[in-house]
Amino acid sequence: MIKFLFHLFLSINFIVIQTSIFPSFAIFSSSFDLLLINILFLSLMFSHYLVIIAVILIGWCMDSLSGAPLGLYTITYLWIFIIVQALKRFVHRGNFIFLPVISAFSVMVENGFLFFSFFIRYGSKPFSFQNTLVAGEQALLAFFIIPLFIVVIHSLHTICDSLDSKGAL
Amino acid sequence: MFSRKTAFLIGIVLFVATSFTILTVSSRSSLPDNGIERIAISLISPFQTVAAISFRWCTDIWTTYFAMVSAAKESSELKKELALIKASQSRCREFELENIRLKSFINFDNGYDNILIAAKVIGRDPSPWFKTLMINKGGRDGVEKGLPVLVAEGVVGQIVDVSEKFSRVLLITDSNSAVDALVQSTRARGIVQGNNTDECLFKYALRKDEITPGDIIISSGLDQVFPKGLRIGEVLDIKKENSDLFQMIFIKTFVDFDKLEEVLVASTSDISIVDNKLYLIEDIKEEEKIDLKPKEDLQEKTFKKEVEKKPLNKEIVKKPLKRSSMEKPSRKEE
Repeated sequence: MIKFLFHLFLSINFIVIQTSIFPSFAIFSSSFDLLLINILFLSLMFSHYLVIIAVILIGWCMDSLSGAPLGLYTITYLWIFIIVQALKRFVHRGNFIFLPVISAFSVMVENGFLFFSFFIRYGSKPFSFQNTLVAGEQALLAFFIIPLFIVVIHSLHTICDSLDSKGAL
Repeated sequence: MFSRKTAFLIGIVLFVATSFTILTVSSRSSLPDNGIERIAISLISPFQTVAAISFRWCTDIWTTYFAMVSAAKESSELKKELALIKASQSRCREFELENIRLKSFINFDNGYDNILIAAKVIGRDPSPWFKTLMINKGGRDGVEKGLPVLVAEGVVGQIVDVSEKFSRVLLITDSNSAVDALVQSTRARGIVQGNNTDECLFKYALRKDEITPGDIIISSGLDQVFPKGLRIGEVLDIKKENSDLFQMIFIKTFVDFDKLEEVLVASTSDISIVDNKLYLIEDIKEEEKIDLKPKEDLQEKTFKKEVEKKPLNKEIVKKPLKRSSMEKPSRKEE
């Protein structure tokens, strides 16, 4: 129960930060999608079918709040979940290279879908150097930052796990 | 029917196809609002509102704090700036007033051929029983004992004491001062004597002379100190005692002695200063062949004085003046 509340709290926080706080700072204008941290963490830690529901719910929330084409986030998160699940079979999830690479890759997947939807709507216009640069920056940031977040969340998750096993709630 | 691998591959293909179909459809046209979206929005919006309010509150505090810090710094700097500006403004005002006064000096034409030495009042008599001033020009500048001191408004007094750099001026309001004077309208003669107040007495005017309040008193020039025609004051009151030969007249001086800041010392025409030594101008004139006009304006005089002061222009022989000759200034008589 604590773990569920923790992830709910985490997701809501990420959504709120992403939608209400980050837009106020120019420095975060090219920030990557924070929900990817949670998605990656869930994908890396769990393989349960309930996680798919959680991923879909998070994606649905983001789709509802965002002006992006409907289903973009849900599909992206599902794809990331599937890719991580597939890669987990070959690479150990604690590998110090795997975590940054999959983080950057997740951002690239999301941007790939985004560019695809742009391409469908606007043609080749959005593929400007500026947009590609922003996508590259996001991937670079994700390469370094998402693993750190995942480590922190993992620590907190462990604490919640221990509390859960003690039957705190 | 299908193997696990085939089912997995079919699933993947279907998922890819579905994904891109949904994305293509939703990218081409905005899908109509549905209830599911609204649920998500209504679930997340309260958190967003709280976060936004809290964030705005924090931002406001932060901004206000920095604004206050900035305002405090700015206030301190502005106070300093204001103090400097006030000081500057006051100085400018002083310069402006000084300029007005000096302009009045330049325009002052007393029909007097002598060099006028401008001096600043640097002190006043500490005793109420005497009316004297200290000025910042002395013997080095050509000031001598007995020279008249004037301003544009009229007569100030007379030099009574000279040091190298400073001189003391006896004001006409001092009881020891006496100026031979005339009533401008009736030409009645008398002596203007100070009484240690702002008013002076016009003494020894004959009873028969018709003098009325408002008449202007001017210097007669007969005292060999003050040039003729300088304004002294105007008649305030007249007292005629039955037994007296003379009438007692109270006059108000034109010069406001409390506000004097600069004065002009009417130096004798034949004295100038070169290299801090006194020389006869006539000697210089002879040597330099300078053609001094009989009546030149003050600016020319001042310029000439400045020229005379410059040693480079003086390739002339300068004879230092003996003190004895300095004390006997030659003066044109009216």
